[in-house]
Amino acid sequence: MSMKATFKLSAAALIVALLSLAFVSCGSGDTAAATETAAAAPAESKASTLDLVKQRGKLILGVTAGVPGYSAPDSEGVWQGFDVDLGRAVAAAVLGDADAVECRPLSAKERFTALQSGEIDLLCRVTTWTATRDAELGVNFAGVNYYDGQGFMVAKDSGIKTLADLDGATIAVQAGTTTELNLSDYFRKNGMELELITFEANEQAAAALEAGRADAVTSDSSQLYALRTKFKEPEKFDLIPELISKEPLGPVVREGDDQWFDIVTWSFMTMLNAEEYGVTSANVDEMKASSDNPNVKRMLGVEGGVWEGFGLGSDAGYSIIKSVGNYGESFDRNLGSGSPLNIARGYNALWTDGGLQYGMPIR
Amino acid sequence: MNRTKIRNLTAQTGLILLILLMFAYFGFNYIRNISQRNIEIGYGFMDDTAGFSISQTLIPYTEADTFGRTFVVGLLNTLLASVISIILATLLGFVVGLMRLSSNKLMSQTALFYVELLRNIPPLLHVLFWYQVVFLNVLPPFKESFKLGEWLYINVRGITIPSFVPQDNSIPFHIITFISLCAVIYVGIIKKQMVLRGIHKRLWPWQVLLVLVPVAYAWLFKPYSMVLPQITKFKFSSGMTIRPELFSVVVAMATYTSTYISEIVRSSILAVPKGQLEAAKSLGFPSYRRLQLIIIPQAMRTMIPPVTNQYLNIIKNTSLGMAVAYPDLTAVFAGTTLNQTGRALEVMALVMVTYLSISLVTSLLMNWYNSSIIDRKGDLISKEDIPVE
Repeated sequence: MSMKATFKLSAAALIVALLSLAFVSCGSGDTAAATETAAAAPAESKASTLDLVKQRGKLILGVTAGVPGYSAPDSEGVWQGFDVDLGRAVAAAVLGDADAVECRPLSAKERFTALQSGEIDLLCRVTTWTATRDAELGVNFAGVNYYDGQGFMVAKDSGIKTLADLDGATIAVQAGTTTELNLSDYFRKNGMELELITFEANEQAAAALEAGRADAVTSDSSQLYALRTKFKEPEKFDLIPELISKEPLGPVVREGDDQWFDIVTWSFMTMLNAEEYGVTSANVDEMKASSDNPNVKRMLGVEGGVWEGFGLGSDAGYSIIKSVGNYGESFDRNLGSGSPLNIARGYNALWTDGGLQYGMPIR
Repeated sequence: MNRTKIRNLTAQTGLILLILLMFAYFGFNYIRNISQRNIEIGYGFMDDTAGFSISQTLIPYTEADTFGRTFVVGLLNTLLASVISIILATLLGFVVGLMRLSSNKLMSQTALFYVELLRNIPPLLHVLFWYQVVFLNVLPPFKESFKLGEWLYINVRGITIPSFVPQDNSIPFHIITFISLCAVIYVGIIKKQMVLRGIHKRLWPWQVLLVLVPVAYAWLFKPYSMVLPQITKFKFSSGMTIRPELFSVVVAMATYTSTYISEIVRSSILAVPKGQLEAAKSLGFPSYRRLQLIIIPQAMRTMIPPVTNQYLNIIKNTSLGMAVAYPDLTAVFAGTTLNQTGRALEVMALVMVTYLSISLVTSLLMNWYNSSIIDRKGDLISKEDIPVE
């Protein structure tokens, strides 16, 4: 056999080997996908989450990998944020210690699997409550701690105050999202004229507004507030109060553990009621000692024995307010006037102030 | 057939079979995955309502139109940006290429600087520079436009000029213009044939006369009325606006590609044998005639194939407009439409075939032009190629 032929043959053999390798790896990729689907099926856990958390001595909370205001580590590596506060409230109610929380950052893809498999006890990760998720993922939404929705950011001096003022405006949006469709639908439905510029990223769309190329930029309002913090002059821009889509964000628990579901729901309700009755982390001791309001008395465990019914100590409500504060305090500290985001309460104001946040009665 | 040949043949056949098998496997996988998700393969989705709007459309388009129409809108935007860029890049490339050959140091050095600066920056940065730096950060805001009388407005939202609205008598004007243009070209062809036969006759006054006909018609009967730009709350209600997205893509592509074209022009001119220039000089041709009659026609022959390549690059590179929200075929169809329908295979296949067709048609046109100026031996068409009547 000549040298040349040997070379050709071995080259062919090599290619054949490589190709078959490609085959094998394709096949194994398939198997990996299959195991993933199997893992996604809800794990049957018999032990109650409450007992598990008490036994462990800490609550494991699923959060974002870092969304300022909602859940992000501070300069000392301690997780802070509006969603983290809700987890801290639950820990305070269950363990009497709001700091007994371990935050586990999760991607959007991982979040439900982590909850179903029992890796986390509670998911507070800017997660939208939808029928499909409730029906198909084996999870339950225990309330809405932030009413988000698609909004519009405009320059304050543009004179645009309502959605109707946007007729004929140039609007910047991120490409290929439902945001883009919602927007076109809304304008079409209302017979308004629209010039849409479609960017690859939200940051580019926001830059177009900042430079004056567009009259408005649209996205989920929480996202818009976060984009605004990066502007050179954030005080010159604001959001139109109206929203054109519903994105209710809330805490999520595993299906099939009603006791734990109730605890999460009522920890959140306590924060809402506390704001309504004017109980804050600063005056909670005073309120506990002297308030005549029976609602406050039941909430703080002076009367009633409400909390014992959930399998908690009578001071669960007191503990939440003392260590985390009420809903308004948490909002202001993380998202509102006390934070760089400076988000208006809007739909997240209490029902008594014209918002949607409504604490079910504690009695 | 000896043993080596048989062995080689077996190995090659095996390889081809394996490759075919691999494609079959991928295809099978795709069909299985798709059917698991209860999606049918096909272009039926093209008739569904798109539901999203597009900023720049050359044909009427609303959100209620179909995905199929978004394809046409995107394609026309790609063609628009490509055609303008190709024309500008060719003109610029010629000028810069000739400047580089100039004996004037200032001219040649300026051209050298232009070429070296622009061609060494990635084309995406060119596009981003014009959009992010020039338009979004240098130009004045909408309400404080830079103005030139009532005619020209330049601001962050684009360049606005008056538009020309056709009147009732515009149709005869179009016909007259078309006929006169055809006649001018025809006279040009006759002139060329006469030159090749060695007959020298002045024909350009006829061409001027022919051009003057539609101009005179336009002046007398005013087939178009000019509409000045009018500012309303959010935009110009009249006039024609060149959007920053289109402007950025076109200027970036034209300047970037012009550097390559200028180098092609320069090298093609230098490739013409020196004897040609010397012969022209000794025959007493003035310098511009030397270039026009002797050098450039011969340089054209070597210029066209590489210039065609550059044209194809422009067509493909206009897809970079996606980075600055230019609604071309890639951004609209392979971007938003793909995202909304989830038809990755169908959409990508269609877009790829479309780019391929545009490129092939362009090369075809250029090859046809190239073959029209050379004869069978590859020389320029000369006296011998003209059939004797």
